[in-house]
Amino acid sequence: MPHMTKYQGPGLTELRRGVVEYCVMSMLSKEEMYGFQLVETLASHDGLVTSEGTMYPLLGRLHDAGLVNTNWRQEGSNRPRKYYSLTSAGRAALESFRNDWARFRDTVDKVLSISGE
Amino acid sequence: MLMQSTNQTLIADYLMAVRDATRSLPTGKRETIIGDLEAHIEQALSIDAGEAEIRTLLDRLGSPEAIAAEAGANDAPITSKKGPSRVREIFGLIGLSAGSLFIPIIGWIVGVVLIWQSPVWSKLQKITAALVWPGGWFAMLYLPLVSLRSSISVDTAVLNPGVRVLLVILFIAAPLVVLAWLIRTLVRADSN
Repeated sequence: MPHMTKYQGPGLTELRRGVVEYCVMSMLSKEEMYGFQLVETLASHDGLVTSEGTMYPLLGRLHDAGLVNTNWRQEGSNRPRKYYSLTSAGRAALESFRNDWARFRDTVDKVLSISGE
Repeated sequence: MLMQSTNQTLIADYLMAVRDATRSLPTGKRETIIGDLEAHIEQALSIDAGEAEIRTLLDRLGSPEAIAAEAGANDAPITSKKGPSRVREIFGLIGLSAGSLFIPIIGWIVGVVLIWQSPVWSKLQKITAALVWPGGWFAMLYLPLVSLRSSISVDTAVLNPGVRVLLVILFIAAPLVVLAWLIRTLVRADSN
């Protein structure tokens, strides 16, 4: 009898890594958000973020790439908060991803459904 | 009071572990991440947060290693990103070309030795570099002598102007082509 072990490739983890930054940009395309607010919103969507702490280096990467801007703002007696907003380069990258993703998703759905039923 | 300090220790330990995992990052980048995490923790916790709440929060933030990996801390360290020093290769090429003109024989020998020591080039390239014609560019110094002497002693029909021009072009072009070939390989090795 063959020894069966469940295959656990990088699959979803790698896919999530590649996609989540566009989800971040998509949220910032609607409004400016500070880090905690953004991370909590992302985490409220099922299966999108596994380690919330990784969102901060990711935001740093987007900032270095010129896709998001940061600015510190103080509201009331709170400590100043770092707000993130989408740059025009970020908007362009997001728009391009939206198209690519739609095609990719449709293709994968189609291929999976051929053998799935 | 004791409880309070346990909670503070949990957070401090966590941040210390992140600091440790990200030590290969540039200081600015590292401090930004730590600051972001501190702000996150501060905003997430209620004033009377107990140990369980803190543990849940830190658990959701994820392992310091995962954060470090996302920040690129596991990528090759900065020193090896710069690539190996190419002093040997560059001096090898100079020795083989210009060096053999300015310091005849010795310049060329040094160039060949340096090129043979380098791991960048293939055996074929090394052999070609050494044999393109004996002496590399150094032999160019002989060229006028050779052609002069041969035009006297050898049948001049063999060395008509056309053949002589061809020879000169070959003698100048051959080392140039080999040099370009070696440089291209070197540049490609460093751009990967």
